[in-house]
Order: sequence, then structure tokens, then C-alpha cells
Amino acid sequence: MVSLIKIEWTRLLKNKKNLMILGLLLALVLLLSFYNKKLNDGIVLRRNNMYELSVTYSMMERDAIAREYTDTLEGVDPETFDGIYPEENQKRQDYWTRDITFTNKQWVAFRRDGWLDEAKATLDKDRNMKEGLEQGLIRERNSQVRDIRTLQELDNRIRLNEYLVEHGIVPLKTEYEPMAYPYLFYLLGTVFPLALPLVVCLVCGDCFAAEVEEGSIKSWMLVPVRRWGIYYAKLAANFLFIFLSLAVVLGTGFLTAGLFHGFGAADYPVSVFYDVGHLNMAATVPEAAGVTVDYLPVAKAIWQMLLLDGLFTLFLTVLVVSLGSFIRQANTATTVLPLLFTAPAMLLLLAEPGKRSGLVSRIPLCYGYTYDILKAYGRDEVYLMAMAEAVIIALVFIVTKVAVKRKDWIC
Amino acid sequence: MKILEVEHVTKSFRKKKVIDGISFSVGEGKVVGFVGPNGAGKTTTLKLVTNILIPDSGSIHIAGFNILKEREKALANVAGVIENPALYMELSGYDNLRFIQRAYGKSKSDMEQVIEMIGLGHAMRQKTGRYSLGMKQRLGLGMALLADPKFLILDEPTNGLDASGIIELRALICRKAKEGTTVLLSSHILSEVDRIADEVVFIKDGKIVEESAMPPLRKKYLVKAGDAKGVLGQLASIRDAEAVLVNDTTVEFRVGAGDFAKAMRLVCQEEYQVQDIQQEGTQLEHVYQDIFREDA
Repeated sequence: MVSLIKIEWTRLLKNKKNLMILGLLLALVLLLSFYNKKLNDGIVLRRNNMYELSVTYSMMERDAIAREYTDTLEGVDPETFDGIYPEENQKRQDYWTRDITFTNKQWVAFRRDGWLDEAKATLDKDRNMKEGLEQGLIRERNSQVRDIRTLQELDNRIRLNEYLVEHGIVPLKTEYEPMAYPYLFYLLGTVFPLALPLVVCLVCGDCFAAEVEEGSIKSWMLVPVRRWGIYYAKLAANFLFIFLSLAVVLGTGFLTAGLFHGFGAADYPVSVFYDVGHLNMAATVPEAAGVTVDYLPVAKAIWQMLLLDGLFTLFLTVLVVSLGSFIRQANTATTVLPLLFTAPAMLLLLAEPGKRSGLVSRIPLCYGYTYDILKAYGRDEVYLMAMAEAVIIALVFIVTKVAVKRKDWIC
Repeated sequence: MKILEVEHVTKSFRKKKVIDGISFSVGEGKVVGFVGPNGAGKTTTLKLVTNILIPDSGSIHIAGFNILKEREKALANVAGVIENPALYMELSGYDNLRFIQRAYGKSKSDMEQVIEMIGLGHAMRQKTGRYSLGMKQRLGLGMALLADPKFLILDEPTNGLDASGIIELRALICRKAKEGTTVLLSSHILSEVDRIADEVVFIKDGKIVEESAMPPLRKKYLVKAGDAKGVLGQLASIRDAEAVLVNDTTVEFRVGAGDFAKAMRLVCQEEYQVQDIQQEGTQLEHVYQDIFREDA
């Protein structure tokens, strides 16, 4: 059996098509790290401009308010209002002005030098803001801070900044920052749900059909082993090949991003949006308001995603190799199977987080968003899906084994 | 001892019966020709024998092992080239041989010997996709030989081979047969089967129509001579020769390869005024024509 696995391994390794597919994936992963850098810089620039504008607007508003009060009561110091108005009014002024500048200010990452002081200051302001909102001290004319969604968002932000300050982690400017850890997380969450089924189908889909077309399958069929031994050998070699190839691609992407853009913090927080079943790198502003958010270290999230992706790779390889063994034309295998297995991933990518429902909401488990489900729906859901995968694998094994033994199978 | 026993095997493709209850056997150490017209079911039979296809009914035993129940034991005795050489076109000749070397646990020195035997040492690093048909055939044969089987199955092994390739192949099969390897040889070239085979199995429309031991090689010759009767008299002194007077100047005779020189010595004497001697096909060709007259 081991020698048959080695034979199939050699075939996979020397197959031009396979090398081309993996080469393209590697190139995509390398290029994306530089594209993300460009994207990140663009977003930061845009947010900086918005911040500058909002600060100017805020100051103008503040002056207008000050003028309003000074018109009413003479002798007021427009900078402090101290000693003239009751304390309650003073608080209102403070919360209101801070809110306007703060929301936009949060869009811009803290400066790398002195980020800790800024984070602490922001944390203080946020806590004040939260208190003001809870006590109803914020004036109603400020529409941005009057509903519960904003309170939730504020709470999420406070916990994020607490996490950053507590762990001494420099915050990301945006979620696209191409440092090694966030980049690996980005690849697993956005590129791999589509790339994984595509690569598995294109590499493994024709592992029998191409040999049937070429005639080389007869060499396999004459080897004195049981028929399903041939199937198992091919399956094992294909799984190992896919698994190691993807590991090399991910590893190269991780190292390249690390060498060019820095590795970043392994315990950088990942936001887990429970209510919509979604994960994202926590940048300075949570991406969705009004949902329960938790934070977990990125390295832990990556590790668990890799484990579940490994299981899914096995699941997918078993399905693709088994179905592929009944197809006699290589072209059919490499067109029908990718369409079949990437369709759910396409659906998933098209569906907005939070708008997935029914079956679509279960697809993430199989297509790289496994951790989303784990956090969003609880562990039972994951075990249920893992069991479903195991049952499907067992069924496919049984059907293939019977077919392999009793039918003409591939010839 | 029979190395191959096929009993009442049938096989249908989409309700069309292509093999219809065939039974035949191959004795150990024999070279058996498997002969039939195109579409008779030769390759399908060989695929059934090697378990590439599974029969609808009947049983196949190789070296006493049922191919369906004890596949690994049965196939441990078999290697061959079925239909065309099973090669990976993107891999080199060397890598293709490595397939068999690994699958059958053979040593590298075994591989070197086979490379030398098939005469492809110069092309071992080339991709087999660039090989000529003859080179592919040689490599396929090499792969079968590397497995060192007791039972060698060759389906149209002379396809694409040049004259020297055919001569080498013939010598190789004879050598293997002497070493005790059983060979089942399917070929359209009857003269090749005629030269090599000990027995012949004829198949037509998925049925075995004749299974018989080959008589010693007996070719038909036409002798034109002034004294044809004299020639006839001389040939009558050879025990296994069959001679017939066609007309006053022509004698038709059949003689085994071993007696051919003797026949020539007796016939080619001045007094008989021999003008011409022509070879007229083999006995197998005549048998073939008799059996497959409708197809012809």
C-alpha cells in the first residue's frame, strides 16, 4: 500500500496541471499580501481625511454652541463654561462634543508611537460617554448617540481597547493590514473557502479519469492488491498532496507577509460576532453595531480554523476522489466537480454576514468559516456537522467499496 | 497444471453480450496464441482474465486462485500489456519503470536488466509522450517483464514494432517460454503466432470456436518442376510431409520447419528440373480462413 501511495505521489508531483494550479495559488497568496498593503494604506488615508474634516466640523459646532450660550448669558468662558452653568449642563456639553469627534477619530488607528496613551485616553472618554448615554445626559439633537445600537457598539469598543491596553498590543489601522498573523487569518477566512474546494477538485477530480483516458490505469489494475486498495492508495496520496501543498502555500504566505510587513501580535484580538456568525480582525472600530461581540487571540482562532479546515479537506478529498472515480473523462471531472463543490462557497461569499439563513448558514462549517459557527451557534452545532461529515464519508466509502468490488468501476 | 482456467465466463456491455460463456485453459509453461477477428472479444477476454473487468458470470482461476475472491494472490502471477502499453505520457521511461519496480518490490538491478533487455537505455530520461509507437511497445513490454510473472499476457505486442523489434520480441518470448513463463499471446499477425505458439485458442463473436494444440510448424510450399511426379515421390519419403500433385508441373506440400532443409535437399536435384519454390502461407492461416470464412 505504501509503495502505491508513493507511486501516486510521484504522479501528482510530476503532473504539470497540478504544479500550475498550486503555482497560481501561491502567486495569488503572495500578490494579495502586497495588494492588501495598498488597500490598507488607501483606507487609512481616506479615514485620516474624514477625521480631519470631522474635527473641523466639530470645532465649528462647538463654537456655534458657545456663541449660543454667550448670547444668552454674558461673561461665559466658551472653552470651559466653568461656574456659569449647572454641572449637568456642563456634562452634556462634554459628552456631545466628544462624541462628534470621537466616532470618526476611532476610524483612524492610533499613532504607533504613543498609541498606549491614546488608547487609555480613548478608553476614559468612552467610559464617560457610556455613562452619559446610560444616564440620558446626551442631548437628543445628537442623533448619533441616542439608541441602544450605539451603546452596544460603544461597549464593544471599550472591551476592545481594554484588551489592547491589557495585552500591550498595537492596534491595527484596518482589518486589511498585511502583517503575518492578520494576513493568515484573512487568507483562511476569505481566499480559502473558495480556493480549497477549487484546488481539491482540480487536482484530485481527475485522478482516475485522466489515467483511464491515458490508459495508465491498467498498470494499477494489474498490481496484485485488492481493488479498493488502489482506491485507498490514491485517496491517501491525494489527501496528503493537497494537505501538504496548502500548508506550503499558507506557510509561504505567512512568512512572506512577516518578512515584508512584520509578523504582528499572535494574541491580537479577533472579533467574534455571535449574532451573525462572523469573524473579523478587530480594528479600532467594530464592523457591526448592535451585536454581541467577543474577542479571542488571532493565533488561537487560526489554529482552530486550520484544524477544522484539515478535517474539511479530508471530507472534500474523499467526496471528490470517490465521485471522480466514476467519471471516465478528465475534462468532465475537472469541470463538473469544481462547479459542484465551489457553488456553496460562492453562495456564501455572495450572502452578507447576518443575512445567511437556513442551509446557507450551515455551509460556513464546510467552507472555512468553521470557527464562525463554533462561536455563533455553539459547540453542539459543530459536533453535529462533524458527525454529519463523518457519516457522509462512511457512506461514500461503503458505496465506493461495493462499486469498486462488484462493478467494472473505472475501466 | 493449468495456470489459467476460464469457465463459462460471460460479459455484457449495455445488454449486449460480448463474451458468451467462454471456457478455455492455458497449461503452465506453454505459449498460447489467442486469435480472432476484430471485435471478436479478445481484449475483453484478456481484461476479464486480469480482473480489469468483472465477469457477469463464470469463474476465472489463475494458478489455482479465483481472480474475484483472491485477486491479490491470482494477480501476483500475472503481468502483461493489454490493448496498448499502460504508460504515463508525462513521465519519463525511467519513472514508468519505477512504477512497476515499486509496485512489485523489485530491485534497481532488476530494472537495469530490463532496460538493457528492451534496448531503451538511451531514451530512459525522455518523456514517454515523445516515444515512437515501437518504443512505447518496448517499454510496455519491459514493464510487464520487470514484474517477472509466471504468466505473461501480451495483447498485440508487435503493434508498432519494426522488423528487428519483431524479431527481438519473438526471441524474447521464446526465451521466456524456455525459462518456464507461460505466455498468452493475442495477435492479428498469424505468422507470428504460428512461429511461437504451442497452442491456439480461436475466438469469434465472444465464443471460443476452437482450442487446439498447434501442429509442428507446417508451411505450405508450391514447387514448379519439370518432373513434378519425381518431386512428389521424394517428398513422400519425409514422414510428416503432406504432398499433393496439383498439375503436371506443380506440387503442393506442407512440411515442418525441422524437415524443411531435408525436403530442399531431396527436391533440389538436377534430374527433377526445379524451376521455382514459393511459400504459400502457414497452416494457421488456413485454419483461420476455415473458421472465419464468413468474416473473410
